[in-house]
Amino acid sequence: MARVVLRNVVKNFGDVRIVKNVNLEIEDKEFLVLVGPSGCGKSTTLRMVAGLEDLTSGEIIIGDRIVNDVHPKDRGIAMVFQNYALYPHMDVYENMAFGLKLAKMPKAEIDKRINEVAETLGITELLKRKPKELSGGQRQRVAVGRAIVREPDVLLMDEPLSNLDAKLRVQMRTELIKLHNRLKNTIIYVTHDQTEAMTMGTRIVVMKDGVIQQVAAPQEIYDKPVNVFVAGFIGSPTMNFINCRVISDDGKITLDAGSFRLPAPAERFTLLEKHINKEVLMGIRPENIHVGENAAQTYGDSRVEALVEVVEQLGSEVLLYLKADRYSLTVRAQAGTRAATEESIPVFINMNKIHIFETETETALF
Amino acid sequence: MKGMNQATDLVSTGSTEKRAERKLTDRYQALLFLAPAVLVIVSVFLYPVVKLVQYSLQVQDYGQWKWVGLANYRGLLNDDIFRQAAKNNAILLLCVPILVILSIFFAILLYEKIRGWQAYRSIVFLPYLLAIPVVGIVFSYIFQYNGILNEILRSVGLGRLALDWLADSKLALPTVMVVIIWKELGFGVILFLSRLLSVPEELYEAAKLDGASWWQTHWNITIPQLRGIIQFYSIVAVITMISWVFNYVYVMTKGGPGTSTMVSELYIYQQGFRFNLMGTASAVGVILLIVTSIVIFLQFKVRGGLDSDTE
Repeated sequence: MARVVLRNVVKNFGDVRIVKNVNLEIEDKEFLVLVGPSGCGKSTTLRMVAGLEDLTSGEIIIGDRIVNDVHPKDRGIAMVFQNYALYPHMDVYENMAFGLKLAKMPKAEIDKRINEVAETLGITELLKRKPKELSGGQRQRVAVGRAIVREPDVLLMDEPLSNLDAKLRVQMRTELIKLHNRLKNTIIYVTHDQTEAMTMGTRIVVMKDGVIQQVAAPQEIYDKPVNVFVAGFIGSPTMNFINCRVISDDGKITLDAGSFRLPAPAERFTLLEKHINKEVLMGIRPENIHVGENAAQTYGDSRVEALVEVVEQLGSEVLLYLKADRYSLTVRAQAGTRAATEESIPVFINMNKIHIFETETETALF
Repeated sequence: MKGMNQATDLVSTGSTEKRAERKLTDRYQALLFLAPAVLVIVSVFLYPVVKLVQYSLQVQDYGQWKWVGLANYRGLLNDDIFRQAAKNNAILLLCVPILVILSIFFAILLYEKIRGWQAYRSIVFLPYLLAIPVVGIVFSYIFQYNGILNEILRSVGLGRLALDWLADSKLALPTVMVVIIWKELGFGVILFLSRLLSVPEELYEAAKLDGASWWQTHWNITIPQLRGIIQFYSIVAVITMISWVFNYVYVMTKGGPGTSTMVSELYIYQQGFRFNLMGTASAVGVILLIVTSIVIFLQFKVRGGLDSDTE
């Protein structure tokens, strides 16, 4: 097993800079998830670690050696591709054995390793099948098997679940987590799906436009996003944003959103004082906006009138899509919450859970 | 209740009859729609084939066709020139593996996007677009004893290699083969290249991570992925060598020197149109038809399973 270090890594494609000065340390046995929208440079970063792309500048260190000029096969890595990349003319056994044969491993050892991995992944009965005879989930398992049979120090996964249907994706997600818990190897996992990132990663790296926005544990990313992009990207439904002006009002600080005003929490006064009479962006997650009698009692001073546009009954919860002044708000309410479209209802914001971002830099004040 | 059952039976019997009647009408309708196509096929293909077989069993005697059974075929077996032609066709089959290997090689080079690959792609395909008589005439000049090739060889001090390429009976057929390969190569390259372009790039990346060298990658990944196209192209090339080389030979050597470049098609032409032995010419035609039909049959058989491994 090994730690991976990316030092000032830059990648240009022609004149376009895809990865901009990435610095990252991935600990041994860590499950690190690179997440971001399409084109953010996450896959390119992973491919540079794999050795499938050359670096424009910077260093990649795996274990204790710089691997910039090391051939992919000698980096101690294995990769699971988005489309599995199983050799279609070989059966499952041959797919898994290919790399080992090239490494001139004795046949008995190849047999032993493949049988062990096949048993771990529950694909023993598939060993003689060709990829086209496998379902999406089975192919995915075989692709993982082909990677781990090489016993790599670092396992790289490039959106390995994105070709599966929603149900299978959830199932495979759990299986990959279990596999990591069992094998304890370093995993770098690329996805654009923030749910995958949140559920699988021991740490998450959020990227945008080739730049790392934040590196932190999932809950920390969710609770303390460093900027508007991370706040909006992580979390589903996405965070609500309201433009406000910070106003000092009789020793208190309020956030003026135009047609409604919200009291800032007292413990945040110090931070907000520097922004009196300035525009800021307030963020609030859907589960921190409440409706109903109890909410009125608890958060009565942060009431906002909103028009119900859409009601989504999800069984375990209800999502309300509202319009308050010029802002679209999403509210995650308890199951059984009743609301009719076109109806005007009061909603209450838990001001202790708000996030404030500077308008110009979009960085978080808190 | 019983009456009701009878009524139901009557209704169901009636509807079964109707259904059968409708099926019959549908079948007639289908035949009617198929008729024009069937007629065209019968008139342009089946009729000539039947006539060909018929002629091959007859000889023309002062304008009259006389039935001679298999005499034309027996005559062919004893004809040294026909045997030479058949042998030459068989030798030409050596072009097939050369064409396949060269096509794959050039396709891989182009696939790997060597500098200027787009220009090379057009250059490689260009000969395939040229008319065979044009190619034949041009190469006849190039390969003359005092042609461009020998002039170049002499000018670089390789005068000993300046041979009479088309007039030497030992060299003429290999020289024709070179021209055929030059002309036909482009089709193979484009065929293999188009298949290569549809192979997912991840397969090559996976092979790279598995530690495959250039040769191992192409041997273990590219060739199996091209298997179907290799089979298809080989069969096309075999058919070409058996029954599609008349133009080359006619323009460049007319079967000579002697009969050293005689091929079956040229033999048919000479027997039919120079010696007016239509029966013999037809017999060779039938033999060619049988050989190519066997090849086509094999092609269909092969194609049945070719997609299975490359999906």
